[in-house]
Amino acid sequence: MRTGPGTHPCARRGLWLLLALGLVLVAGRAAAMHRCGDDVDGKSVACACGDLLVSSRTLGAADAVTTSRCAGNGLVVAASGPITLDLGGRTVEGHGQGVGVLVVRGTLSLVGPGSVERFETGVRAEGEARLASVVAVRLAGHRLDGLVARGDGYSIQGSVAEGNGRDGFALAGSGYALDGNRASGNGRYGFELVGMGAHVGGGIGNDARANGMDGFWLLGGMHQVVGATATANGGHGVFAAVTHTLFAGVEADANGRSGLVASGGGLVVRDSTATGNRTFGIWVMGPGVEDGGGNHGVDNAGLMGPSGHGSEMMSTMMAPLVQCRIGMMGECR
Amino acid sequence: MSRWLLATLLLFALAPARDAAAVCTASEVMAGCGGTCTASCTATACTITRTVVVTPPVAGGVCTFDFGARQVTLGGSFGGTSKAFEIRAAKLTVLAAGSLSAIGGTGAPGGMITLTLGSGGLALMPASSARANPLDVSGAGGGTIIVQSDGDVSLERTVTANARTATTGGGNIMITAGNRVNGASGSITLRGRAGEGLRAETSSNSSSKGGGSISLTANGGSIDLENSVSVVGGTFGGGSIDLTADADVTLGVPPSGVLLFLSADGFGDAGSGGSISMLAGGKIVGSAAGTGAITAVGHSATLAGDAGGSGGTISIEAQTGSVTIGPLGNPQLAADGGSGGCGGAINLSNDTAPAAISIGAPVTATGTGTDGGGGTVCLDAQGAASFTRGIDVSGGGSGGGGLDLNALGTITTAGAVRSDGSGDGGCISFCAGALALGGPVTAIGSPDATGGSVMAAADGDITLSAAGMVDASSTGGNFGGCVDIEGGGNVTIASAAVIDADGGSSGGGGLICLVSGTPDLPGNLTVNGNVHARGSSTAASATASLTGCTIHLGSTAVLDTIGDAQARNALAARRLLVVDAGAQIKTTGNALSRNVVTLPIGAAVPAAGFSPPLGTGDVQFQPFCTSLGQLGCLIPCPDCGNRIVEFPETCDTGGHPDVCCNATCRTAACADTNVCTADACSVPSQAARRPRRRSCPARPPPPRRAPRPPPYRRRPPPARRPLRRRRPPPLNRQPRPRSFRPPPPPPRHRRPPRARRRRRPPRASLRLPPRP
Repeated sequence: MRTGPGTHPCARRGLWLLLALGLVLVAGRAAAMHRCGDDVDGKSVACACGDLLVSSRTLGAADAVTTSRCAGNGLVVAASGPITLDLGGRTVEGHGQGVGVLVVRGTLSLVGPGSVERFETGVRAEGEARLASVVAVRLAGHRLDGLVARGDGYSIQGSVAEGNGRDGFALAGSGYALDGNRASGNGRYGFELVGMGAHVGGGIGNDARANGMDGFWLLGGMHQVVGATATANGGHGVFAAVTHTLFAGVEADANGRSGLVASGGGLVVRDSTATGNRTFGIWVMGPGVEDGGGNHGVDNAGLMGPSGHGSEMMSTMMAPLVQCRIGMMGECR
Repeated sequence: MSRWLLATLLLFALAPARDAAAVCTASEVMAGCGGTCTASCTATACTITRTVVVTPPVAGGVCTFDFGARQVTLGGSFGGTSKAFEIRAAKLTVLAAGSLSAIGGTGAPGGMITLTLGSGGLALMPASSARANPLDVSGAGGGTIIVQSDGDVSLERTVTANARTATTGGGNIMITAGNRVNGASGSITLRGRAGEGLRAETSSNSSSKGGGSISLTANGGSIDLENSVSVVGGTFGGGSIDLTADADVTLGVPPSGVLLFLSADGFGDAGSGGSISMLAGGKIVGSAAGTGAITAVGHSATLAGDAGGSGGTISIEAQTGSVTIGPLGNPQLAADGGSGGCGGAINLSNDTAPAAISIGAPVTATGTGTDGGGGTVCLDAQGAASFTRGIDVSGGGSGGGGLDLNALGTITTAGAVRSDGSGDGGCISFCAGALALGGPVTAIGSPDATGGSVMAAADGDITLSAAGMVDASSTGGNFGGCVDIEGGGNVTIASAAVIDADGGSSGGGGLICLVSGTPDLPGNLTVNGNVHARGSSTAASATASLTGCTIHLGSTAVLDTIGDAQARNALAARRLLVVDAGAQIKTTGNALSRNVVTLPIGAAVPAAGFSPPLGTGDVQFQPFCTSLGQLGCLIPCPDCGNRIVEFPETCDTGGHPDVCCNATCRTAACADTNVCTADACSVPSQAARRPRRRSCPARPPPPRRAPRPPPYRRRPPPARRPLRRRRPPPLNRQPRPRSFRPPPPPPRHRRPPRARRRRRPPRASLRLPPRP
């Protein structure tokens, strides 16, 4: 039986609902995938959400990925070799899911100024040579991590990870370098640094503040941590389970647990300070640890336990070590 | 008429613009693929039963097969060598005979398959035989699989992005179920036969490259893994596995005969372990109490003597529920280093009290060899926590690792907890509501190394059972380590238990500190076991310090610091010192090596059990303090429950603790610095009790962790205190910044305010709101 749309109000309402549902479905789905970049078969193709970036690109107003919020991934880098993505001062923004910039093939240099915001993960580049560098990029408001990278020899400079649900920078691999970065207000670690031979700082240093747990969390060995500032983090300022690592110019203040805690063999600590931390100041243990001088701990409370009372042993037998302890029974020089 | 017009418009809205090129669009498929395939399609469904060869119009191009609102059933093969293509449909079902692939083989990298699906989700049905018809993008460099499904994802066969040559790495598999944009919820289930599962591995264990990455996200739903997930790698190391679910994560047991469950191991020449991370909005639990092995283990070096690969990282976090691993199945949490490598890190946490963490699996992050150091295991539990099969972070020449175990509830250990090292012993730290040690806890330095330290702090009782042992002893010419056990309640050392801080053969003894009722609470110290810190040094001084309200040394108790020329035992009983017949309290015995006893004025001095016997100068009587902070006095231990408020009590409700007076007769800390709650404690009444429950806790919540932005929150939690902390913006709410501001350089040499006790904020709602 044929019924005209005007004959029954319920039918008309149903159609409108169907149409609305269809529009919602369309809105919730990522756009179709295309290739984009400055050289796609000889043409410059603007990038939209979910596109494959196959050649270098400087984002601009023509790139829809910077003018609309992405339902899934922002850009997927799938290049045959090294490419540069220049954010051009613009923002790539998501809806709390997907990855802002996902590198699956090729080697990415990500250049700011610019921002990647509100995806599940901001930038993810895992593989031996998936990432060359990230410079002056802001990674903010992601449900999990700001930047996840694993590889060899990449560098992260002048970038910010803030307000991410888990880690600001989650970096792994070997021989990578980071300097002039800041991680603040992230849910877990500001900097999670794993692997071998990381150059952490050395220029103006890195800054971790007000992260939910540790400011800097290091694992592995042969790292150099030079010029790290960790302030008001919920856990330790700097926590490291590492070997053969240098800590120099670390400043860890007002953290919820200890300032600088490191364990492992062959550690060297110098010119570092820890002030006003809740538990211990500087606490470095392991065979062959070396006090390079210039280390100080002041006003660290020595509180432990859920209720936060002090240890009688530490406050009586080993009181000076609450502030600064390098080696089993070594006060700082 | 208008209805059909609207329906037509809707179909056009759902269907995208179609590429005119053949064999690269859904319309081509639906038209019959030029005779090479058969597709039977209607407006709502499409069944493909023969072969579809994806052929983009230009080399390297991308094909999009948009079936609109149709539910697609695939019974034939669909794909092309190294191709990149996307299928968009309301639902995709791959039948037993169906397959999806973009294989590259050994001469080309794997391609890329993207599946963008509606609420019908993805169902990969079991193949006709094991490992047949995988969803496959393997190649000379694994390819990429991206699934964005509004609905559930069910995987019952192999999904692989493996590398097929020894010089290329694994690829990427990224599966998302549910959609935050339109509020759709989705879950992910992985089943299948032995040898199937999710794989982004290197071609072999001798590969020079690394494993790939696998990411599973269930928005609004759960993840249930009943088969293996592997990102095993070669020399470059294992890859990464990320599991994120708004609801629960179930870690099951893989099919019979499969050893690995979640694996990010490194192989090759000293490949390091990768990373395994799981985050559940609900709980993390085994399937029928069984869990498979979870490993991110490093591998030894090819050349003997070279350092091996390091262990990787394993992170397990449940936001509102419990964490249960094992005890059935093949449970294991391993982040061990290869020979000569260092152990990795294992972090276990939950965020909401009183959910428990129960680990019925061996937990290991060991290192071995000359350079190898132990790794680290951290626990952060809001309820009770138990480890029934031990924890091992022992190390080699770089020493034992670190154990940092924190829980608001009781921590219970049954197996061995080890942080031994052939370098130095490591550091073991417990901070808990209460502590029950039912097995050995060791930080031994061996064979020629210093013992480590064991620190145990609890608000309540600490028990070292008969099977228990705490050992921070040294070997060779080294000093003994430190054992510090301090409980706010009773501390009990059972008769067969041992506490050992001995020095090496020519070293001094270490330090032992046993405290009950710390800092001013009622708590008795009972020692029936063997406590010793023996040494042989003329310079160093082993010390055993015992403090408590009543100190009771039973007939089997031994307190021994014999050896060091300046060794001493110091006992300070705030109420009473009881030494049973047979108990031994002994030290070297000379002018500088004495047993020293401090008692309240008028308390009885035990007559026997001391060697050397107590002399007049060895006993000191002190008055009771009348306020905190006084020196030269003992804090009294009055009877809590006699309805008389006696210092240091601040209240006494006659043995009926309530919201404002706890079981130790202490007024709760009502000034919680939370601007959202009233700080005044009042006589509990029905009217006051309900709102006061939260604002006036019997014991302050943990101060360890600062307020943390949960990943799944609707809005930031309200500030509980005026912390100068930048919080992340609420997702979907904050207007996006118009321009980028480069980061300011890190400030240096700023003198911050003193750290204050931190309180955990209330949990916010876990899920993001649907798009407004």
